[in-house]
Amino acid sequence: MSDFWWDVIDPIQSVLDGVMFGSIYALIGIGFTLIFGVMHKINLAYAAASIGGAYASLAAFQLLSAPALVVFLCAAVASGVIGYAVYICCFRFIPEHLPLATLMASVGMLILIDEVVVHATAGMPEPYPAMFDDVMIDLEPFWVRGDLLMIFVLSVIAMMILLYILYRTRLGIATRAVAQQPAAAQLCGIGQQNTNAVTFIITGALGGLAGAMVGASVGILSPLLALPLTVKGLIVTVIGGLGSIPGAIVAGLLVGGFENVFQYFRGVTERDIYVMLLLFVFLTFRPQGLFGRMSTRD
Amino acid sequence: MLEVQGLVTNYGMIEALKGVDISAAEGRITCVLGPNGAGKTTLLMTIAGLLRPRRGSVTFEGRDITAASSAAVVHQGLALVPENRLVFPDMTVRENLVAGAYTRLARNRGEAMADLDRMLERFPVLNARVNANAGTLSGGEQQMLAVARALMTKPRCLLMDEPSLGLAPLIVAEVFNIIRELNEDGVTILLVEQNAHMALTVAHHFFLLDQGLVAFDGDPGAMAEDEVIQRAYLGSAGG
Ligand SMILES: Nc1ncnc2c1ncn2[C@@H]1O[C@H](COP(=O)(O)OP(=O)(O)OP(=O)(O)O)[C@@H](O)[C@H]1O
Ligand SMILES: [Mg+2]
Repeated sequence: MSDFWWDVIDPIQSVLDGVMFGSIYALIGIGFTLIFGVMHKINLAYAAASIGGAYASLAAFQLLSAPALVVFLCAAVASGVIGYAVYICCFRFIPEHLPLATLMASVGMLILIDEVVVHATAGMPEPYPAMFDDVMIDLEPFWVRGDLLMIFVLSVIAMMILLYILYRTRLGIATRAVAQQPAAAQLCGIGQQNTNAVTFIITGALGGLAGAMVGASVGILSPLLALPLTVKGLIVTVIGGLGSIPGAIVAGLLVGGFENVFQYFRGVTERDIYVMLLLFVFLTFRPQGLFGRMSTRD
Repeated sequence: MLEVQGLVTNYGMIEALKGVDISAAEGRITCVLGPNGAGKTTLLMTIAGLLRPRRGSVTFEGRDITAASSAAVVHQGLALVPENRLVFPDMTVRENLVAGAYTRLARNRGEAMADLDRMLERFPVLNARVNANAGTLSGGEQQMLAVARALMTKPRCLLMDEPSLGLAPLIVAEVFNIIRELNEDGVTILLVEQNAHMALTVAHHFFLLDQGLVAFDGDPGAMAEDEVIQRAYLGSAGG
């Protein structure tokens, strides 16, 4: 192979790895965007709840030595429960015309979840199980890491289940109806609060899986993950277009690949600078995001 | 069939309804007229359970539904076709109709789906665009969809808020034809209208709402003779 080839193989490899890891960002972005779509509010506690759920699933790992896949599912269930609790505490009883109050409540919840995790684990990272972490698939000239591929596949399955629920079930009809026209949804007999609560549970479960995937990809869980994941999730949501699920998916993969290639060139300490630059480019030239519309409400 | 007594509804400090008494007789078309801001939409939304009244009561078929949620009201057999149609823009025509049958899907999916097919037969314009997103329909098509969606709840009483708003005369005539047909099928109708001439062609009873109070209550004959209504709503054409 020519010299040129040798120069681009490694960057391409890092984009490949990044895109697979980006499926986690896509999951988090979907969570933010779906809650925004349904309630027109941002739940800043979302990524922290996802990490919290992953931590809760450590119980299954440490006490029961459950297999990795079971641990991941436990994370999803735990985060679904936390999602419901966040809904009750920060959204359910705060009047609709006080969006800032909900925002601040969800910030408080972010800090609370973070503190609980830090105190429960004395701030030390905990080992987290992975699947196929000893597998390397050789696709000359590239390698595919088995654990990353597994993460990607699980994320894609989770997204397909979500899309199936949204577009093929009665619950999905209710969710989209409330998102698009809340008053008319009520006139169809669709309970707005129930739909909101279910949205928090479903997105919570999705986030829990994402949290578990983060743990599985790096092999440890650390409380330090919550804040960067929140920031990445919000960036993905904005780049994809607030309220757009396809946007969140594409933007998640984009941000994942983008950050990893800059990590390859500039190192892990500098890479987030470039992610922020990508965000600013979008905010300047395409503020509505990839799939967003200019007008947001009605 | 539908009795509203002493209804008071506020928006914060603003009293939009100041003690409204109206009723809709079974099998009849009752029309509520009134200028902009009279409280017509507020009245229908309060009946439908979207707004909570301060005082007064709403009774439907002898049952008190004053404090009922909108879902409970739909369940009782009362549906509202809202002002400005409010279709679900990014859902297909079919999905809009399925949403209308939401409460019935869990209990009897087969029946709801059969009704959906019948509804599409009844509204050929909707059938032609059944897989199009509702947001891409014309105003008239959206109005038909809003009516069809409300009918999917299988109401015995239909509340309609200005169904002719912003439609071309030909489409308005079509909408009123549908209202008449529905009524002949036995659906009780409470219609809010600004178009008094069209309303006169279908309604059996009239109320005039003004600044949150009922200013007139009578049959079409009495209404056509009432001087205030003459001047305000029927213009020279009425007399
Ligand atoms: N969401 C709201 N908040 C505050 N005031 C409102 C709100 N909606 C309506 N109002 C006020 O309540 C009064 C009645 O409004 P309503 O919409 O019921 O009138 P309407 O008879 O339906 O008018 P139109 O013919 O224009 O549809 C008006 O004075 C209006 O300004
Ligand atoms: Mg009105």
